[in-house]
Amino acid sequence: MEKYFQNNGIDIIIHRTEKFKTLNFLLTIEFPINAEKATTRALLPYLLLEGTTTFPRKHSLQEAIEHLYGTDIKIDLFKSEHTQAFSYYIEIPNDNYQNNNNISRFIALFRSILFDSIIPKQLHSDQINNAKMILKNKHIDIYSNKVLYTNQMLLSKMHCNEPYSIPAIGYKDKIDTIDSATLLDSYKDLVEASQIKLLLIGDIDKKDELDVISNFKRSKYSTERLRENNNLHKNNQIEMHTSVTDSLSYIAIGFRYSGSTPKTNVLKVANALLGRFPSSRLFQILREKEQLCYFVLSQIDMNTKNIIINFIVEDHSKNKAIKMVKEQLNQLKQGQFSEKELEKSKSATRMLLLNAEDSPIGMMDNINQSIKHHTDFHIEKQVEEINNIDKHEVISVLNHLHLDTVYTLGDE
Amino acid sequence: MNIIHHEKINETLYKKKLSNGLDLVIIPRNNYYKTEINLAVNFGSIHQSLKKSNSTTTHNIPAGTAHFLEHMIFENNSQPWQDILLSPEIFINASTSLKRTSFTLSTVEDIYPLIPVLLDTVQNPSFFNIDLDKEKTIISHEIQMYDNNPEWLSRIKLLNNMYTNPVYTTDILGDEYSIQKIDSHLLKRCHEHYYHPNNMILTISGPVNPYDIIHLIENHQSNKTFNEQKFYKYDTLEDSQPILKKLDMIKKGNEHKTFIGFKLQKPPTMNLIKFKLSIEIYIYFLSKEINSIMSDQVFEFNFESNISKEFNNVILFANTSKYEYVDQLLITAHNNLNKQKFDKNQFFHVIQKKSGEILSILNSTNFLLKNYINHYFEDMNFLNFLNVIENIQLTDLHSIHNVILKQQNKSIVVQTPE
Repeated sequence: MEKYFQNNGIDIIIHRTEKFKTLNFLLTIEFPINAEKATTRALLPYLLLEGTTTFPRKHSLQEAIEHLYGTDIKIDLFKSEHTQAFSYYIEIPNDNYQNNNNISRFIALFRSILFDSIIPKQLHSDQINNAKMILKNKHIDIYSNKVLYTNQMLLSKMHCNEPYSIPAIGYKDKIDTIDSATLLDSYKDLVEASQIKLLLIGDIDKKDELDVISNFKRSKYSTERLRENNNLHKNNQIEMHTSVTDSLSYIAIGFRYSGSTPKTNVLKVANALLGRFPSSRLFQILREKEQLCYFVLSQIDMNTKNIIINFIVEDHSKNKAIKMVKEQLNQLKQGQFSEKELEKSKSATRMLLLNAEDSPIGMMDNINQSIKHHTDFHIEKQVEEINNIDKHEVISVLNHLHLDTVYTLGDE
Repeated sequence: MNIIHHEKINETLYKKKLSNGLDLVIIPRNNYYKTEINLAVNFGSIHQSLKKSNSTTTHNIPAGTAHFLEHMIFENNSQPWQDILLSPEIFINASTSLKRTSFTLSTVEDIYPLIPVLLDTVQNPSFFNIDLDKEKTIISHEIQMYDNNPEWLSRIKLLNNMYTNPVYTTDILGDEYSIQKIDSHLLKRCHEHYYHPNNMILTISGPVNPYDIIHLIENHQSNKTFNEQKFYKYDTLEDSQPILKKLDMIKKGNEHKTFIGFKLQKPPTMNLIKFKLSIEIYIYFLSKEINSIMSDQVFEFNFESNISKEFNNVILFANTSKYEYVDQLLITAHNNLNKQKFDKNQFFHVIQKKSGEILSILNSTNFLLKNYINHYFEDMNFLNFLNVIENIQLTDLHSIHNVILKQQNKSIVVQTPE
């Protein structure tokens, strides 16, 4: 059962299921993307957890959350094509495992984290510094994960004149320039103008549902202050960035999708054919047949529909591997794949979808995607759609993909 | 067959030990799409010796052998196995740890025909005549990937500085030299010895009928014969030797890190599950205390605890190289916890929070089986964790306080940029 309410820029989506032993909350705050404000906004999810007017210090707020028996809050920063967003994810035991009716207390606490923050009140400098340090460490984490970093660099090259090049976690060198004035401004954006979405899944009753809806409100809402202007400049040049690292090269190749928005499931099947699975072309050719690399993966950037391929090869095999990736995509574009390969790709796509339904996060992700891409929420309908995909649809989607940028990790 | 209902977590477990020794555990989940299988062998990087056939002498096996064997099992060229490998709707994976090699398979399609294929592949490998060089290249890539991970290297360095017995600290993958020593004869011997049903557990969770599954596996196993094996028992004595090196510096990567490790011994009156969970709760209070005495949050930190039948340790990771400061904070926090009693109200909430974490693990059949198996090889029943945690008392934390963070059991590794 799906509930969907809209008022004052707050959407509440509640999905009842007895499948899990926990209640799961995903709270998403979204802003139009803006290079100037991106870093300050990336700081907000950490700073908000530094305190509320009732619990003005981090540890007291933390305790208040723990008293509701929540596990740790997981923070995510992400973006879509024109927006920057952050989310809080938290799960608490279902009432039948721990007899505590505390959904409404929980909602009240989250309301106060967002709307009764200490940010406009008596924020201490050590609280700002804490949050800044955590954000800086996020940058360092990405930098130390070579695959993630390669991808971030690829995106910044591939979309260099587009708002999409703005990283969801902002810019590291801008963190220290954040002061209380810019913070207050971004906090006001959040309180008065951001898009807020609460997704709740679990075994909850009607009363809880009404509690959530009546308690999760904001007092002020106007999108007026967020009329932000972003100029789009598309960069069509093929760039090759190269430099030497270790004996292994970390490579990301971006293929840009151009054309009308494809059916999500068709794109997923096309990517399954290309490189999403060990049975896909890229793994079979690059790793199994040619033994060029241990790792190769192709992923869809769901915001742009672009395809990003990652692999790690020894330096001297780099060009050979890149050439092979291009060749494989070209073969698929020309329809050089069997019905059997297509059927396998379809069942793999089907399996990922159903697999996700077996975990709270996966189920929430399926719900979010179906809202965003206007697909049917019912899993059976989606499975049916996948089953009906034919070869021509897949070829047509593949032909909208064009090589854009090749990025090799180096010491720039 | 034993049917055990765990009321607290609302799970029913069907359990049977087959006549050849194979342990079967089935946890049905009828509202799930996916069925998850985890077949695990009690063979990991800790197992570094092998008895010669018809002899009492043992000889050492090279580091990385269990992991190498795991890779080679995948090379089975039987058609049904190759079909599974090429079926993207079937997720298949394997991993090797200190104590076990495990093979996982999951699918939303019909699981029944896949079970015998998995068992055949693991029990009757076909790789003994093939060239091992290809696999050596692949594994050497894997080793290089980890060599690029400074945190991993520092952690291994720390363990090496803490333990005399190398079996606790050997890299699961082995190294570039040790894997060159592996040949098919050795793999065959290890397989015969360790991959005996008596040394294996098969766990399944998902929308399945436990009776059908047990019937299927019993039939399948009754057609096979296995030579009797005697399993080498590891000293269950904890390594009570002093640590080897108190302080070590590494220049690697581009981050500042401090790793502080402590060996610790379990109080004899406490069982292993209670010990493990009490330590986790103690660490919660300790972390809180560190945070409250840290004037400005100058670094982030987290703890890892490794509790097993043979050895136990607690490791603190901090993202700073000011190790003296981290060390001093840790000592002060520990002393403070001694003075100020643990708050009863807070204690209650931590127990609730930990229970929440366990319930969250149970949501995933993959995590459920993984946790079940990892604890099974330590003689712990994961499904009992919720019961045990609710019986932990404040006095248990006092017992932990007295064994944890002993200065003579401490070793520090400091990692700074190259």
